[in-house]
This record gives sequence, structure tokens and C-alpha cells, in this order.
Amino acid sequence: MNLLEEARHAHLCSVTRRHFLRTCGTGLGAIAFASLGGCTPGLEPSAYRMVATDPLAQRSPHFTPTAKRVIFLHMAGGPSPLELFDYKPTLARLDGEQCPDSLLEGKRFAFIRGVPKMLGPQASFQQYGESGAWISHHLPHFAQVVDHVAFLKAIHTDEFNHAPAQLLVQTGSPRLGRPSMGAWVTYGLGTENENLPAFVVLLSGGVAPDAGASVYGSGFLPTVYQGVQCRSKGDPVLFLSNPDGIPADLRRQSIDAITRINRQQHEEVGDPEILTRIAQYEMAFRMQTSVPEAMDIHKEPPYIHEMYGTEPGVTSFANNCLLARRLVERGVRFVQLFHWGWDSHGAGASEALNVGFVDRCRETDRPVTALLRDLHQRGLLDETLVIWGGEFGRTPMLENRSGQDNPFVGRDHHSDAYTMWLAGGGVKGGVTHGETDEIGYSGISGRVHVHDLQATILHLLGFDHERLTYPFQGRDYRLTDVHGSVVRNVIA
Amino acid sequence: MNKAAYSLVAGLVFLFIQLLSVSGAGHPTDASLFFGRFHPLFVHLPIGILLIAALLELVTRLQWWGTFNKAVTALLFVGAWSAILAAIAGLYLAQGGGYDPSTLLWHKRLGVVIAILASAAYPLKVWTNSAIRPPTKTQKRAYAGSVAALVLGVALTGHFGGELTHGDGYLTRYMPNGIRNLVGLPDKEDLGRLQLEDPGEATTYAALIQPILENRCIACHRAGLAKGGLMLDTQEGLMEGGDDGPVIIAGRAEESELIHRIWLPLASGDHMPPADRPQITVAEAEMLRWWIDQGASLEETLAESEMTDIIQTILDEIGLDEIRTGIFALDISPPDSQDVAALASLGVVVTPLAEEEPFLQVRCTDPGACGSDQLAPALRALSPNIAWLDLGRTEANDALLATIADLPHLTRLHLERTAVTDAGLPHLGQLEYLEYLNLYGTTVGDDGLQHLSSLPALRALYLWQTNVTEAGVENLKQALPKVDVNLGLTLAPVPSDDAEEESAE
Repeated sequence: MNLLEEARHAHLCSVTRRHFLRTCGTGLGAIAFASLGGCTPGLEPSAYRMVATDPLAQRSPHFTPTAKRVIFLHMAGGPSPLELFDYKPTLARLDGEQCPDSLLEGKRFAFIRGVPKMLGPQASFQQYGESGAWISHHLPHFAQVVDHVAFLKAIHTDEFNHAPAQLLVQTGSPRLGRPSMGAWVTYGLGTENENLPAFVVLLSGGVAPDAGASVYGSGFLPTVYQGVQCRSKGDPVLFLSNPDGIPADLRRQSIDAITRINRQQHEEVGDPEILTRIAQYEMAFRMQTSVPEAMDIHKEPPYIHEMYGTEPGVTSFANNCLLARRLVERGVRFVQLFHWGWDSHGAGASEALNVGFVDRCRETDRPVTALLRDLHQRGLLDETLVIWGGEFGRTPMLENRSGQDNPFVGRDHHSDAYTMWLAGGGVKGGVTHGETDEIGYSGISGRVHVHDLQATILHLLGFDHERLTYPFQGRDYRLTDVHGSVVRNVIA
Repeated sequence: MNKAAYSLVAGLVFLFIQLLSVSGAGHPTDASLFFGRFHPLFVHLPIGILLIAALLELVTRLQWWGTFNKAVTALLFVGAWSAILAAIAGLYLAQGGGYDPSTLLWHKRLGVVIAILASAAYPLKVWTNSAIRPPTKTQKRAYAGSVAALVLGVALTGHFGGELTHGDGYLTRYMPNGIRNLVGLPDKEDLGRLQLEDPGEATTYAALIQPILENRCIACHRAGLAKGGLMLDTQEGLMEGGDDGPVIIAGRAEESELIHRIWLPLASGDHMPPADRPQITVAEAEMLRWWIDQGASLEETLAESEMTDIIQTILDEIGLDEIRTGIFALDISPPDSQDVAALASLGVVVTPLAEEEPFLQVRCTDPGACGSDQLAPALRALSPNIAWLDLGRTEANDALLATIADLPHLTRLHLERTAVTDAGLPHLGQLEYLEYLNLYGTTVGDDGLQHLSSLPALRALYLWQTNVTEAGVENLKQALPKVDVNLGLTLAPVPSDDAEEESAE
């Protein structure tokens, strides 16, 4: 099939009975109109937040926001709060004891079978800042900025396996098909900079998120809202450069021609995905110059590289943190980082609390701290919400998978209680909300479900999480589904 | 007089005996409560029957409905008996307690009055119907009066009964403001709404606690009366306590006498406020408990107070969520859409801060646009509406700051990495709502900074990569102690072995 035939075929495929009826004289047209009206579900146009002609146009939230942008540092794998923020001296005393049955009854674990032993904190703790937050010796840099941070120490989730738990945190549902938080926010607010993607995803740690690209997908929202993965090595965005021998002005002309055809097509069939496609062509063209500029960290001064611990030309979490700052500085709405390697089971060196976990802390401690400080000195932290956390926590019990003596220690997945922190964007600094029991097993006060966290994030961005909806399959969907309440104690 | 009338007299006598023996909330037996709970069932009999009797009495006056005359007689008899029964059942029900005492008293009195009135109306009706002895004018009048009084009495008793069951103000809660004004009630929106001048500065005590004490306590516990030696009308009196010592133990609500007394059973003599007085609501009691647990501070502001879920729910209910401060308290009309379009056409993104908000955020994305001569008049056209202005990384200069001086409601201003200098800063001195000012990457210095000391609302000031010195910041902080000034990175030395590792790198 040549190109012309293909185009004709595509056209015929899109011409439906409705076209026939509509173009078939007044009488039939009227019947067709009536039937169309009768068959279309009663959706109010106002239920859509986007503008048909420009789905990424900047829009106003429900009420005056305190945060304009978000950087979500997703520590994929489930970092152990017991070695970072949640200081439990009692657990140290119980180290090596058999876990009592009362803690195991009715619980399910990913790997622990039988009766495990308790595992004391594999870190030493000290209090820092005016707020006196307990921070482990693994995070010496971060300990200096705790007064910017609000800790949520009793987050709980419904899932104890990586993929569903990541989906729950990022999309509000443990199953595939829902839009991610970044897609919702972009759908709600549009973009501040039309030359860059509104929602950028940066991966590090060598392993992509377990749930795949769905954790930053657009679900049933128009695909213009999905996260765009950028790489810190090689071409920042794949397939963005012009092919060899195609100059920019020729590319411009061909995109103009394609846009005219697409507009004509949209007038005929009215499919919003055509608008998405037009917007993406246009953005891709603009991005050809703006993205390499934004993603090029070579020109950053040496003291910035020193501060973040960055090394241009490699893929690293530090580079991604610096990129995140560069992107929010340029008005990118939502920057999503994933850093794999926190799945500290202890079954091997790379995932042991005493080896791999320590490496993860070293990789992230300096860049995260630098990110907060750098955002602050540029006046950006005030309007940028930074979120740090994983998909679940880890058990206070030792996981010993093979049942033999093991030089490595680790903990199993744990959904009942874990720590995340928020900073900037209208978050109260130097506070701790929620508390776990004396071994960090369950929240005893200030428990915050993942849906509550999402409601809080949307609140800081100016949204009533119950009103940010999109009609799909006959009902209005939202990020928090039918749950969520705003955690007011961490809002300044 | 016939036997039926005597039976009513006997019924009334029995009612009075009950009234004397059952009165007051005591310790009812199961049997009496069982009987008492038939009150809501019985009570609708006299309401219906007596009202029907009155209605038929009215229509029998019309010639062609005269046949109903006999029915009225029968209805009054049955109605009177049902009223007596309902009243007795009511007395037993009231023993269970839990009703507002003053409403209950009126309901009880009126119920008995209805029983008497109905019992009197029956013989009067018999007399007026008598063929042997034609009724006197007085008898006729007495009868008509008793029936009219019955109708009024049934309506009032029913109203008080409804308030007992459904709570105070059940009938008037959704009354339109027009009718409210007619009967002298306040407008609906004002009901229990919190009105604060400046909620950011209001203390929790003044906003939430003092009003409760004023409404519920100081009628007795005030200077001059001071029951129990306790005066709650002054802060000193509240902290001092009464004859038995302090009533508040800061941080320990459960041990504080003030809280203890509120939660004692209503029947207890130590319960406060006294049982016959308007009681403290659960929401008010929770607020008192929370305030004491928080340390019973007289100075802590609402904004500083640690909220709990319960308190936040209560505050949402009384409208604290909707309180607007700063520019949001002002009444500003929405911007003219043509002016917005004119500004947007210069390559500037203009969006309302939020839906249905008159204020705008303006962001210059095109560096060249800010050098344009048209920008200044376009900004001026929207001067009351612009709240956030982002000119960072543009060609904005001191001349443009003269225009910015005319944007009175500006709260956030980005001027980082622009050509702005010390000479332009005097223009910013009058921005009374300015909270956020970003000047990093400009050539401003200590001289220019002095002009910012007249910005009362300023909270965040960014001065990294400028010529400002620590001394200049100190000067500014003298005038504006609340401002958070960021001079950029001052790396605190990181302790532990990690520092050695860094030097090794």
C-alpha cells in the first residue's frame, strides 16, 4: 500500500454511518441529530477542564494555590523508614527476639514465612534542626535541612507488592488504566512553558518502575497529559532530533502541512485525540531546541556540580535532581523522578540494609539536600512542592529468605506504616505528623492513607480533590477515587 | 351534667395526682418508661381529634352542614380523654430525662391546659346543644372561647414538642431571610458563623474560647456575682480559678475542673452549666478541651495552633475555612476581559489565581515582551487585579518598576535575574500587601534594601547573587523582624565520616 492508499483507507475507516446521515439532507440529518443526542451520555461540557483548541493552556485551579509545581522523588522499592527517619530505640532492644504471634496474625507478607526475628535499626540516630527531627547517620546532608520538611510518619497503603503499590501511589488505583498524578495535575493546570513538556519523567537506578510507564501514563485522560520520559545521557528525548539531511525549515513546513490536514480531520470527526496529536507535533518541534537546552547541565557552574554531586553525561539520580531544578525553573509543571534500588530484602549485597541501602543513601542524600537548598536560594521552593517517598515501608522483622546464616540483613515489604516527607509549596516546615508504635509496625496517630496524601498534594495546588474529575465510561473519575481527606496539619 | 362529663373530671383528677407524684426527672422504672414511650403515639390523637372537632364546629355554623353538630359533641369527649391519656404518658416519658428543661416545662404546662380545656369544652358543648334549657350567651361565648383556645394550645404544644424531639430552631433553621426579619430573627448566614477581623492574627482564645465562656458561663461567673468564687469574664479570673482552686490545668484537659464539670451527668448537682440553663454543646466542649490540651495559651494565634481532625471539622462547620485575609478580604471587581486579552497579546500568560477570583497571575515567558513599551499601560489597565507578577529572567528594568508601584494588590513579585537596580527599589516601597519578593541575580545592594523596610506584609525575600551584605539584612530585619531573607547557599559543615570522604574526592 502506498501512502496515498493508506491515507484513503484511514479516511474511509473514520467515515461512519453518522457522516452518511449528517450529509444526507435535512430530514435524515435531523433524525441523525436526534439519535446522536439520545445516544450521547449526559455529560456536561463543563466537566472537562481542558480547552479544546489548546489542551495545555494554563488554567486556574479551584482556589488560590500555594504550590505551582511539583517534584516527586519516588524512591522505588520501598525505602526503610526504620533506618532513615523513624527512630525506634525499643526495636533495638528487641533485636534478635522471635516476633510475637500477635504481630503476625491476619497479616500477609511478600516473602516472610513462619516466625521471623525482630531486627533492630541498622543506623544510629540524632536530632537535628530547630524542630529536633530524628535523622539517621545515613543522611548527614539531609539532616541540615530538616526544618524545611514536614514528615508524614504513618503513611499506609493497601498493597505490599511493588507494581500495584506504585500504581496506588501514582494513580490512586492499584490496577492499570488510571491517569497518574502528574497527568491529573497537568490536565488541571495546563503548562507554564509551552516549549517543554508539562510533565517530565526522569529515571535512574538502572531499573524502570515495576508497573512500567503506567505509573506516569495518562490513563483515560487525553494522551497529551502523559509524562514524557527524558534521559540525562544521549538524546534527552528519543526520536526528537531531525533525521540526517532534514533542515529545520523543511521540518517546519511539513509540520504545518500535517497540522492543516489534522485540523480538517478534526472538524469532520471531532476526536480530541487529533488535537492531542497536533499539539504534540507542535511541541516536538519547539522541544527540538528547548529540551536540549534545558537538559544540558554542562553549563552549570562548578559549585552547583559540587553541591549536587553531579557528573555530566551519565545517568544518575544526582543529575536528575539538578535537571528537576532546571525544569521547574523553566515552568515545567510536574517532574517525576524514579530511583530504583530501595528494595532492601537482604537476599544479596545490592539489596542489603548494610550494603546496597547504604549506597542508595549516599547516592541520594547529597542531591536531595542540594535540590532543596538550590530551589530555596532561587526562591523556587516557596512555590514548588517537593515530595519524597516510596510505595510502601518495610517490616521491623528480619527477612531471612533462605533460612540460613546470611551476611546481609534486610526487611520485607510492609504496607501498614511508612514515612514520606513534603517540603516547599506551602508545606509547614519542621513538623512531624503521625506516629508509629514503639517498633514502627503500625501507625498509632495521624495515620495518612496514600489517598489522603494525594488529596493533600492537590489541595496545595489549589484543587478540591473531589472536584478535579474527568468523565469516563459514564462516571466522573478522580485521582482519589472515592477516598481521601486533606492532611491540614502539614499545611502552613 | 352527664356521666361522661363526670368521667372526664375523674380523668383530670387522676392526671393531677400523676402530675404531683411523677414530676421531675427521677429514677424511672422500666414499666413507667415503657408506658411513657407511648406518648408520641397517643399525642397525635388529641391533635387530630380536637382539630377536627374545631373544624366541624366551624362548618356546622353553615346551614347545610348542621348535621355534624352531634359529631362535634362526640369528638370533644373522645378528644378530651385522649388528651388526658397523652398528658399522663408524657409525664412518664419526661422522667427519662435528656430534654431541654425550659422547653419541657412549657410543653408540660400546655399539655395539661389542653386536657383541662378539652374536658371543659365537652360539657359546654352539651349545654349549648340542650333543647330543654336554651344556652345563655355566656355559655355560648365560653364554649366558643374554649374551642379557639384549644386550637391555639394544640399548635403551641405541638411546636414545643417538636423542639424537644428535633432540637431548638428546627422549624426556623431553613426559614427565608424575609420571614426571619419579619419575626425578628437574625439572617441565616450569621447563625453561629465565626466573624474575625484578621484571622491570621486572632488568638485562639479570643476567637473561639472567650465567646463560649461569654455565652454559657459568665451570666453567673462574673465580677459582682462570682458564684463559687469563679470569675470567667476576665483572663485573670479564668486562670486563677474559684474557691476550690484553679479550674484549668494547662495541657491536661482531663484533669481540669472546667472540663470535668461539663461532662458530669446532668442530674449531678456539680454539673455545669446548671441543668436548667442552656447547655454547652459537644462542639464547644471539644474546643475547650482542645484549647486546654494545647496549653491554654492566651496569646497563641489560630494559625499557630495545632489542629486536630475534630477541631478542623468544627472550624469548617462554623466557616473558618472561608475566612479571607490580605487582598482576599478586599472587594475587587473582576478584570475586564479586553484588558486581559490586550496584556496576553504581548506574549504574557495571564490567568486568574483561581476560579471565580478577581485576582490575576501574570507571567512573562517571552524575555523580549518585558522590554516592550506597551507592557506598562497594559499592566496599569489591570492594576487592581494583578496579585502575582513574574518578570524573572526578562529585560525588566527600573523604569518598569515605576509601573509596578501602581499595582497596589501585588503579593508576589519575581524580578530575579533582571536589570533591576537599587535605583528602582524605592518604587516598591508602597506595596502594602507584598509578601514575596525575588531579587536574586540582580545588582541591588544594601542602599536599595532600605526602601523595602516599609513593606509590612513582606515574609520572603531572595537576595542570592546580589550586592547585599549580612549587615544590610540585619538592618532590614530591625524594621521587619518577620521577614525570611535568603542570601543563598551557606553550606553548613556536614559532620561524620562523610565529610572526610568528600575531601578525599
